[in-house]
Amino acid sequence: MKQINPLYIILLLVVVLFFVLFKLMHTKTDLHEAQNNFHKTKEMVHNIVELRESWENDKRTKSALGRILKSSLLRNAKIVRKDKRGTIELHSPSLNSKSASYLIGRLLNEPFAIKKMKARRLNKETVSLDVEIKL
Amino acid sequence: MGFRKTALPLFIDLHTFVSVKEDQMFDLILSPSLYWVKHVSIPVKSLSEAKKFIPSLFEDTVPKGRYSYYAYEDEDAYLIFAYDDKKILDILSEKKIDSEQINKVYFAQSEFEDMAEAVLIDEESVLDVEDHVVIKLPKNFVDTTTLLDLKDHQFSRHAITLARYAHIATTKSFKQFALFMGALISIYMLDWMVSEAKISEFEDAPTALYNEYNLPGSKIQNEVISETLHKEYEKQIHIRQKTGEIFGLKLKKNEYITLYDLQQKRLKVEIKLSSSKRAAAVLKALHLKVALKEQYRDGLLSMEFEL
Repeated sequence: MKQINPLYIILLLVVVLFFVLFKLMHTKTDLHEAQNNFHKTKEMVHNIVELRESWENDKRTKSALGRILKSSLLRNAKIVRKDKRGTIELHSPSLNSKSASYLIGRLLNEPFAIKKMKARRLNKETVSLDVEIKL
Repeated sequence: MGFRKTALPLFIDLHTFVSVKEDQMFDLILSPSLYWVKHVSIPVKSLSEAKKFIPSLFEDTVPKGRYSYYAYEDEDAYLIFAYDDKKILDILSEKKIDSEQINKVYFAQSEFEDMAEAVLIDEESVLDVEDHVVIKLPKNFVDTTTLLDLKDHQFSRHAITLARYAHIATTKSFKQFALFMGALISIYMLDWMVSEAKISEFEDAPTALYNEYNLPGSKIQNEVISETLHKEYEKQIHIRQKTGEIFGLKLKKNEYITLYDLQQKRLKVEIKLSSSKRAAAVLKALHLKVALKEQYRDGLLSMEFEL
């Protein structure tokens, strides 16, 4: 009549319970970390997507710029637009101050990645303007 | 190669004297003085149902203590038993029978209930059957007796197991506790497995996210992209702030900006001003946005800012 002391079984169960609890706590910490990492990654991806959408959207930049240049204030300004690989250049040797002010204002208010912009006062009424926008 | 030892049938009573060898195994028959037995008729449909009532049926009969119970059917009634495991084991221990020497344990009730004649168990006592119950009587209560002979005894199927640890807690409470612990362990293990599965999901999820937005497959590459985009974004915001401050300067009549030159890493501005005092005022207005270079000459204030 061999019998195992039930206290040993209970002790074994308690040890197993503590082991499982320990592993569970460890896993919960890992899970929390994995969850946080994923949320950070998700946030980063959304930021990348948003920033690209706003600042690196070639199609949108080109169409927005086209709309600005077609506006009534710039229609007769004779602005030369050069679409190059990775950039768009705008050049006007002589632009009246009202048009220049309008154009600069619009360029700065849109999410264009402006690489260079040079405005030089020629006289009381006119300025020369060179702009380089990154695509 | 080990052989299972043949168990020797042995009748045990409080006053039984036995001489045992250490390696001898026994099939024990407990004397009626080591247990309580009742022959009862209760309106239940099955033995398992009857077992539930046993403790209450012995409530007023047995002294207070921890008991194990057993029952079996006897025609239309039940034979129910109550016994104290520890007490029996202690008696066996006194008789130098170790619990490991015990093969099977039977009640005298199940082994002698069909006896034709009273059985002599020692010099003063006999076993006899009265109202279906095997009882121990003084020898002089019966007329004829036979000697106890267990040599060819055919044991019934009503063997019991003596719980060595019944004094700590009942088998039922051990089982309940073990079940409770088992359930807890199962729940936590399930939670553990679910958590592990979730971790795998969270670890795989970024790849799907990168694919969805056509981004490179590694986190480091995307971090570099994110950092570059942020720098570019901050630079563009900075350009706009600086430009806004410069174009927002309150200039007097005949004062004007002659040059606004934004390059990759710097911004150069030239402003025609009426006096050096005005130049100081302009610089003061822009004072928090300290210029990298500043110079006032011939009414022209030149400033250069780092971007």
